Amino acid sequence: MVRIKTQALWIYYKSICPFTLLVSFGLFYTYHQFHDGKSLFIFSKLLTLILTAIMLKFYHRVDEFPFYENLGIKQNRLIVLMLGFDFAIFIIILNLLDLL
Amino acid sequence: MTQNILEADSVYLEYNNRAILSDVYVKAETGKVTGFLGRNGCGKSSLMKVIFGSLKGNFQSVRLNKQYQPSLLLVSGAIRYLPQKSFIPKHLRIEQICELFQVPFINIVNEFPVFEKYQQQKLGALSGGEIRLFEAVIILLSDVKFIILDEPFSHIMPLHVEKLKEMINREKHQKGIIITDHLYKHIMDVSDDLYLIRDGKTFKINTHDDLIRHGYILE
Repeated sequence: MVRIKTQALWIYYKSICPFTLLVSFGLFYTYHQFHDGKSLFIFSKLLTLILTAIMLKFYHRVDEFPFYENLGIKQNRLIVLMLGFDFAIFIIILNLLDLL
Repeated sequence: MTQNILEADSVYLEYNNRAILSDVYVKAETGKVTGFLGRNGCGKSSLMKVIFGSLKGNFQSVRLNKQYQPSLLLVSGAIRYLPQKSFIPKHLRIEQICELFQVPFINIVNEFPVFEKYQQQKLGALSGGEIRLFEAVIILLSDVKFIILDEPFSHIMPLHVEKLKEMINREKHQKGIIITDHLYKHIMDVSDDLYLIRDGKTFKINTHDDLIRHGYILE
């Protein structure tokens, strides 16, 4: 069941990552240019994630939520997990950029 | 055959201070099909979602084998739900969907050979009616204790509706089935227990005349 849930989460992430990664890459590029004020970029990313959460909850493929629910994942949990994963990737890459 | 019982009572749901469901009792059990009828907007789909656990009512008590469950969908192997609208992402391949729902593709082909040629195709390659049929079949064949079918006969051609009814009659021996649709004759055919939702309450329907008396049909 864990494998199936993980697969379902990956399917959902693939559908939202074009939006979230685009935002992340924009912020990474700016950070890489100026290399200053990391907390500002984290704050900016958090703000975009709040907007993304609203979009996912009310607009983005809302008819497909029963698909994930049938696999045992509630819609709010799905959104929170995805945004958490995206934020974690953002923080990791942001820290890696300091090494460049 | 393991006998499972699903009960929902004291369901109270309101939207914008308007009570949609106020005094509802539902009992489904293995070996039986429980049917629901009602006018548009009477709360049938909301009731299905409350039982499934995807919608939280103002108050509800859903019990599986006498045990209270805050959300049935989180209980592994307990329930699957076919919503009114198409719900499976169209970019997934048929084979992949079968794997996720743990329904062998061969079982689907045995019921509906029309799907044989689609094994490697994406769901989006099917027509609207075929998608609806595929979704209904995959839910119906799922290895769970209960299934909820919300308008399973919509958009499906008559021959396949008859086949679907046959499947429902067969599958009910392994699982409890809750079903609702506006094609009331089909619902009356397959249901062992039939209820009408009116003014937020459930009324037991025994005969065709009961539907006339409640104003659901004219004659």
